[in-house]
Amino acid sequence: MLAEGRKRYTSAMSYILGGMRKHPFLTVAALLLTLVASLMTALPFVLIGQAIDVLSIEGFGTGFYVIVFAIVLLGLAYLGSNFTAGWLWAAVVTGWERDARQELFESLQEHSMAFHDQIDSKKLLSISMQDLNWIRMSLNPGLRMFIAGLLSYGITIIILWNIDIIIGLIMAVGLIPYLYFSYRYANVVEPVRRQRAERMEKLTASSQEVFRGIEVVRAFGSEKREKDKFDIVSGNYAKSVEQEGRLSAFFYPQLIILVITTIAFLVGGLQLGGLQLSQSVITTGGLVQILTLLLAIDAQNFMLPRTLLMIRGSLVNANRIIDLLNWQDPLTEPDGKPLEVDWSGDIVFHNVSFRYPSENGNSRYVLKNIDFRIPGGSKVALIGSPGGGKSSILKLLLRFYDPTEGFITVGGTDLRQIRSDQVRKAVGLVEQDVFLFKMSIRDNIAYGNPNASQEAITQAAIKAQAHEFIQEMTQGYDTQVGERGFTLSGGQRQRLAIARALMHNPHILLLDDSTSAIDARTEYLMRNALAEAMNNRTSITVTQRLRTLLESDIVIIVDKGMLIAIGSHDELIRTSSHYRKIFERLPETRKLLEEVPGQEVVVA
Amino acid sequence: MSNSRGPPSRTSKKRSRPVSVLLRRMGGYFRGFRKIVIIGAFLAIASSIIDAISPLLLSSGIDTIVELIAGSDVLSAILPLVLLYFGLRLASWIAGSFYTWVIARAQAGFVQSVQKDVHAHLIDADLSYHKLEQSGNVTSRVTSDTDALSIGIQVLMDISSQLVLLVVTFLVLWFTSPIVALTALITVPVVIVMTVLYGTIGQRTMLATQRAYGQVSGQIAENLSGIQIAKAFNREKETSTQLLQLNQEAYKHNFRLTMFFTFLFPTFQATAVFITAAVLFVGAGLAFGTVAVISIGELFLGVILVQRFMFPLILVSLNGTQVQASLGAMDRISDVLEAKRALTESPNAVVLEKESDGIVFDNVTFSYLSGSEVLQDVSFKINPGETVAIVGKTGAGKSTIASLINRFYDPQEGRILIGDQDIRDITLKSLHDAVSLVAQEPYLFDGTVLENMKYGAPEITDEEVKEICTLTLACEFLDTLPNGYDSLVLEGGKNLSSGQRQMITIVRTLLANPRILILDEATSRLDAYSESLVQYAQEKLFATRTTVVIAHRLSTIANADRIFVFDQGRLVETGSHDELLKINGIYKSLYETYYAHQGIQELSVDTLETEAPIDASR
Ligand SMILES: Nc1ncnc2c1ncn2[C@@H]1O[C@H](COP(=O)(O)OP(=O)(O)OP(=O)(O)O)[C@@H](O)[C@H]1O
Ligand SMILES: Nc1ncnc2c1ncn2[C@@H]1O[C@H](COP(=O)(O)OP(=O)(O)OP(=O)(O)O)[C@@H](O)[C@H]1O
Ligand SMILES: [Mg+2]
Ligand SMILES: [Mg+2]
Repeated sequence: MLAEGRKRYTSAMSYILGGMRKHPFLTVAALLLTLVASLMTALPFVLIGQAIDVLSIEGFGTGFYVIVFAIVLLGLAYLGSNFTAGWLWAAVVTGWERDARQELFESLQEHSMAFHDQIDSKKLLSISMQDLNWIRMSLNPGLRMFIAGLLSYGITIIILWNIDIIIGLIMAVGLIPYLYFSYRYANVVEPVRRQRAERMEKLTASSQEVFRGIEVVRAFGSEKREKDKFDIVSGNYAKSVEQEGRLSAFFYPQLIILVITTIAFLVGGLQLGGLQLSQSVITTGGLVQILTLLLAIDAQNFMLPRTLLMIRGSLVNANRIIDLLNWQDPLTEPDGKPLEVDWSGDIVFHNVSFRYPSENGNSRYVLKNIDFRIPGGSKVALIGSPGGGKSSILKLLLRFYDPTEGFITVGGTDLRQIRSDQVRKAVGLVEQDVFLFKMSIRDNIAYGNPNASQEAITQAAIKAQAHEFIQEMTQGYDTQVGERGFTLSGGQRQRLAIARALMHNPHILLLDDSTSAIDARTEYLMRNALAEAMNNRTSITVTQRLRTLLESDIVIIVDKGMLIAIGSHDELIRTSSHYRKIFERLPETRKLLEEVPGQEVVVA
Repeated sequence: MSNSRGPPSRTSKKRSRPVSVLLRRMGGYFRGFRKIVIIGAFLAIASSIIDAISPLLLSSGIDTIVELIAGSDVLSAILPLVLLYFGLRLASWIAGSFYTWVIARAQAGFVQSVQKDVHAHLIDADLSYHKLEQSGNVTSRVTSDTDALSIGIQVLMDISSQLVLLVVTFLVLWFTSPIVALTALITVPVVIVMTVLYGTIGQRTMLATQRAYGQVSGQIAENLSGIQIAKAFNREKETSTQLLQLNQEAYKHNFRLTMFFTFLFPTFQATAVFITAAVLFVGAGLAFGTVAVISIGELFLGVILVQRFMFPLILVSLNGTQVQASLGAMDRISDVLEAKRALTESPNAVVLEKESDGIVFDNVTFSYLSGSEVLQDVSFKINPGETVAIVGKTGAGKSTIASLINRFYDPQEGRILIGDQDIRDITLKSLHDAVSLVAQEPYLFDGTVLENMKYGAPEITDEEVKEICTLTLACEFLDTLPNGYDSLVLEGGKNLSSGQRQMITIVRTLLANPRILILDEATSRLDAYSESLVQYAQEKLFATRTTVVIAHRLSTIANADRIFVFDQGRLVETGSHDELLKINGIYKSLYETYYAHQGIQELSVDTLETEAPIDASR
C-alpha cells in the first residue's frame, strides 16, 4: 500500500539534506540570498573605513554624508535580503521536518509486528519527536548560521586581500587549520550525543512506565522507591547534559581567529606607520576596515562552537532515524493484484512452527509442528494453559507474522500469497488485552469503518450487549474514552472491543478470551447475538468457559506450543484424557464433581 | 478545567504566569548550585570586562600610529599594545571557556533538580489526574519540557553574561565620550518595541506551536501503542491522514514562529548597522568638527562598541524559540507543582495498627465524575480473617470498591475503616503495606520477571522467591518463558501472554505478604488448571487472612464465607451461597444463568466417574 517506493537512505548526511534536494531552486535562492546578506554585513565596515579617510581628506562634508547614507541603505538592503533568505530556509527546513516526521511515522506503521514487538514504542515516540527536532534545529538556525559564517569569512578574505595582500593571505591560510580543527573538535560530540539521546530515551521510558502503572506503584506503596530509581536515571541524564555543555568550552579553533586578528593588527599598524611590508598602502581608514571586519568575524564566532556541535550531533540523530527507516521487514507483501480468496473455505495449518522474531534470532519456538484443519464455517474453541500459544495462533491468522516453518492456507490459498491488508479485511480480531483509543465511544466502535451510520453502530453495540451501558452514560455514544479506555470497567471495555470487531463484519472472527471480564448473564445474551451474526462464518474463540466448549463444533487444545488434541467435544471427552482433565477442572464442573460421591476435589 | 483535583491538562489555553514569576521559579532551582553560579558569574564578569577593554588597545594603537612622528620606530611603539591585546583576548577566551565549563554543571544540576521535583509531584498526584491524562503527555512534563528548559536556561545564562558585557561596554563608551554613549541609547525604543512584540505575538505563536506539537506527539504515541489494532482493522491510511493534518497544523504554526524570529534577527542586525551609522555621524562631528573632541581611535572605538549593544538582543532573536519554549515549559511544570491534591495524607496521620484488620464501609457514596454516582450508600463489614466474594454485573462498581479500599480515591460521603481506623487518618505507606491488590488489568514494569515478582517486597531474596514458588506451584507457568525467572519484560509485558502476565502479578502480591488481600478478577485469564494452582497457593499462604475476591466465575467465589451482590452501585444481597440461593434474588438468577444455560446436563456423569482423582502434576 504505502510500502512501495519508499526509499532507503544510505547516509545520515543525505537524509538530513533531503529537504534541500527536494527543493533545489529554493535552496540555491536561499544560499544566494545568504551570500548577499553576508556581503551586506561586511560592506558597512568597508564604508566606515572609507568614511574615515574621506573625513581626514575633505572633513565633515557631502562626501561623508553620502557614505553614512550608503551605510543606512546597506542596512536596509541587508534587512530585505536576510529576511527573504530566512523565509526560504524556513520554508525548506520546516517543510522537511513535517515530511520527515510523516515519512517516519508511516514507515514505522508499516513495519510488521515483528518490529513493534522488539522496540519500545516510547523509544519510537522519543525519536520521532525529539531527534527530528534536534535535526531541524541543526539545519535552521544551525547550518544556516554556519554557512553565513563561512561566507562572511570568504568575503572578508577577498576584501582584506584588496586592502593588504599579507593580511588576506594570513586569513586565507588560517582558514584551513581553522576548518580542520573545527571539524575535529565537532567530532568529539558524537559519542556524547549518542549517549545523551539514549539516556533521554531511558528517562522517557522509565517515567512513562511508572505513570502508566501508577496504580501498582500506589498499591505497593513504592512511591519512594520509584523516586529513588528515577534519581539515578535523571542523574545519568544530567551527566550527559553536563558533558555536552562542557564540550562547547575551550573551543580552540577560535584561537586561530584570535592570532589572525592580532597579526592583522600588527601588520596593518606597521604598514600604516610607514613600515612597508607589501606593495599596498594602508590608510587610517584601511586599518579601521581591517580591524572592524576581523572583529565582526570574531563576534560571529561566538555561536560557532555550539552550532558546530549541533550540526555534528544531528548526524547521530539522523543515523538513529535511518536505522528505523531501513529496518528489514521479514514479512514481505506479495506483488500483483489482490487474489480471489475463498474465506469461507477450510483453514489449514500445515505443520506450522513459529517463533517470535527477535534481534539475535534465537528466541524459542512458541508453536511447534501445529497441523490441523478447520472446515469452513465451523465454530472453534481454542483452549490451553497460559503461554500455550493460543493468541499466537490467532495472530498468525491475521498475518501479523508469517510462520517460521510450515504454512497456513485458507480456502486453499497460502496466507503468504495474500496481502496483509486483504487478510485483515476478512479476518476480525477481538484482542485479549483490549486497546481503546482516546476518542468517543462512537468512534471507537466505528474504528474499522469510519463512515458507518449511527444505525449500524447501535446495532453492533446491541449485539455486543454494550448499548445499555453506553446509553446510561451522560453523553451516550459521545462519551470520551480515557487513554486505553481506563475510565471504563473491564467488562465495558471488552464489550466495546467486540462491537468494534462486529462493525468490521469479518468472514473469520477471532475472539481471544474476550469475555473474561463479563458476567455470565451478559455473556449468555451476547453469545446468542454472536451466534446469529456469525452464522455460516468461521469463528475461533479462545476461552476458559465451559459453555463455549460445548457449543463449538471443534475444540482445539494447545499446551506449551504443541497441539494436544482436536475434535468435537463429544469425541474429545471420550478419546482425550488431557481434555477430560482440563474439563474436570473447568469451574462449572467442580461443583458437579463434588456431588459425585467418593470424589474429592483437591489439588496437589 | 474539567477536573479540579489534578493539574490542568496541556491544552489549557493561555500562559497564566507572568515571566517574572517563571524566571524566579527557575532561579530557585539554582539554589543548590550557588557556589557554581557565583564562580560562573565571576568568570562571566571577568571575561566581559576584558572584552570591553581590549578594543581600547586597538583604538589607542590607531591613535599612536596616526600621531606618530615620522621616522620613529613604529614597531616598538605598537608592539606592546599588540602583545597586550593578544594577552587580554587570550585571558578572555580562557575565562569565557571556564565559564562555559563551570556553568555546564549548573545547567545539568538545574535540569536534574527540576526533573526530580516534577517527577515526585507526578508520582504523588491524584489518580484521577493520571486517568484523565495521556501517560505520554504526563511523561513529557518530565522529559521534553525539562529538555526545553535545559536549552532555554543555557541561552538565558548566555544572555545574562552578555548583559554584563553590555553594562561594562556602556561604561567604557561613557568614559570615552558621553555623547557617543548617549547616541547608542537610540537603540532603546527599538528594544522596547521588539520586547513588546516578543511578549505578545511571539508568545502567542509559541504557545500555539507547542500545542500543535503536543497534539502530534499525542497522536503518534497513541497510534504506536495501539498499532496492533490499527493493523488488525486496516486503519493505516486513516491514521496517516490524521497525522498529516496535525502535522500540517504544527508545520503552519512552527513556520509562523520561525518567521517571527527570522524577522527579529535581521531587524536587530540592521539596527546595529543603523546605530553604527549614527555613531559614526555623531562621532565624526566630534572628531572632525571645529574642535576635535575625540580622536580617530576613539571614533573607531565607538563604532566597535556600539555594535555590542545589539548583541544580547541578537542572541535572544537567534535563540528566541528556545527561550520562549522554556518559559512555556516552566509554566506547564508550574501547573504540576502548584496543583493542589485532593487526596493527601493528613498531617497527623498515624500508622495502621498491627491489630487493625477487617474492612468496614460506612454509608459510602462515590462518583468519579460528579453527577453519576458509581456507589450509592454502601455499608458492609468484612470481619478479620473472613473471605468475601463480590459479584455483580459488569460496571456494577466492583473494581471501584477495590480502589476505594486502597484509597486511590476518597469517597464523597461516608467513611471506610480498617479495624476501627478511618483510612483517611492513616499513613498511605502503612495502608499499602497492609493491603494488597491484584488489579483487573495486569501491569508489569520493564525488567526481568523476577524483578517484577519482587516488586512488592524488594527485601526478599531470590531464593525465597523460588522457594515460595515451588511451595505453592504458582510458578509452573515459568516453564513456558524463554529464560524462566530472568526473562525480560518489555513495555508492560507485551512479549508475554496475558495469562503469564496475570500469574506474575499474582505472585507479586503473594510475595508482598499483605494482611488484607484483594483479588479483582485475578484469575480471569487463567485456565482452570492454573486457577486451581492459584487457589491452592492462596489457601496455603492466606487461609486466615481477610480476603476480598471479585469474580464472575463461580469456582472463584465458591470458597467464600460470604458473598456480596452488587447491582448498579448498591449492595443488594449478602449471605453465604446457600442463603443467597434461598432468597430467590439476583444471585439466584445469576447462578441459574450460569448453570441452567450452561448445558451441564450434556455432560455425562459416567464419563467423569471413570476418571481417577485429579492429578495436579500433569
Ligand atoms: N476512572 C474512572 N473515571 C470515570 N468513570 C469510571 C472510572 N472507572 C470506572 N468508571 C465507571 O464506574 C462504573 C463502575 O466501574 P467498575 O470498574 O467499578 O465496574 P466493575 O464492577 O469492576 O465492572 P467489571 O466487572 O466490568 O470490571 C462503570 O460505569 C465505569 O464506567
Ligand atoms: N510479542 C512476543 N514476543 C515474544 N514472545 C512472545 C510474544 N507474545 C507472546 N510470546 C510468548 O509466546 C508464548 C505463547 O504466548 P501466547 O500469547 O500465544 O499464549 P496464550 O496461549 O495466548 O496464553 P494466555 O492464555 O496467557 O493468553 C508465551 O511463552 C509468550 O511468552
Ligand atoms: Mg493469549
Ligand atoms: Mg472491574
